[in-house]
Amino acid sequence: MEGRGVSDLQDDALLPLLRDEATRRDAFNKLVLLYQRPLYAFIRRMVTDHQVAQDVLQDTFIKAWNGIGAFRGEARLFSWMYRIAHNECISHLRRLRRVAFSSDEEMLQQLTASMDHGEHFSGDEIQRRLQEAVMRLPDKQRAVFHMKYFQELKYEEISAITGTSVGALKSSYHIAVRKLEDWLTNNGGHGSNQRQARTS
Amino acid sequence: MAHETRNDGPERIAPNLHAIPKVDPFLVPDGFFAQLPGRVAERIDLETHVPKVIPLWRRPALQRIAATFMLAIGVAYALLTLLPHTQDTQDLGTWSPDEQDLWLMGWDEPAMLADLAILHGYSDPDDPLNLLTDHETLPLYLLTEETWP
Repeated sequence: MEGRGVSDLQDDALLPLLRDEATRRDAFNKLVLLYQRPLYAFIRRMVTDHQVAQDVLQDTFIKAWNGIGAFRGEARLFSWMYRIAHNECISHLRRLRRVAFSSDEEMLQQLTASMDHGEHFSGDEIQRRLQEAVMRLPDKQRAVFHMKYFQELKYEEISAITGTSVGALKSSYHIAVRKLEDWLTNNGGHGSNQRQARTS
Repeated sequence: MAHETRNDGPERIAPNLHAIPKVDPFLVPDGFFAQLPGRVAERIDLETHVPKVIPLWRRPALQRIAATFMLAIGVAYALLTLLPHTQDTQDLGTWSPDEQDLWLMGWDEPAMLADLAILHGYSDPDDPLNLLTDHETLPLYLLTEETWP
């Protein structure tokens, strides 16, 4: 589990410091330290490539800094930070699709190629295949899958992040799991490899 | 059971997916997380100290309308003030020496010019100041004795 990595207590301690202009800068530095790992894990899963993930993560923190003065605490800091990261991922992927690639398939190939040739991927073949399968999900569905499956957030938390109802999220997650299972089954998933090994 | 509830039982509906270990296969370059807060702080400094230039077409509609309005006023002002001067300058070269003297005298001796205008009915005798401020817009024939109507 990649988890949230940030507790409510840590958020509660940071909030008053972030609201006070005199302490905002130091508090924001603490916020970066607190959130950089869980947000990076989420973003990296979404975009695959480290360099892209780094850009999106920095943009996320800059957006947070620009908006922190207006943050009144209606949402939890955790949800707010994840919401910014989520939106940055979606808009970055949309931009990539529009500017750099002529089709979804081309973008998928490019991003999965970064796993094959990049030095920042340690997964075996099945991990690579899983990531490729996940990359085939629509962006928003992929985000829901990551938050639920890998980061093990509650539906209520994901709902606060994405602004989608819990019912719709459950449905979206269920469909994503089905799609992944189908793809893994038809493209030599882990289980089918094991079954092939047992029968041979 | 708790795990099953947490993940909506993917082992039942998705055995292939469930069989894949939940590990994070993505590596991060050494020192990345140690350097990131500094990089973010640098960007914040840049954004704080350098005023952000937002192109007009990306600004809110109200600002675009106001800017267009101001621009239109500026262009209109330039047309109204600069063009007549240009015309005067061009015409000055074609005038006779007497015409030029009278025209220049109008600038230096506005009171005299006002008297001439009042004399020939081109200004209100009770309020000659109107003419004094606007004397440069007077018709040329007012300034040259030969062509007075």
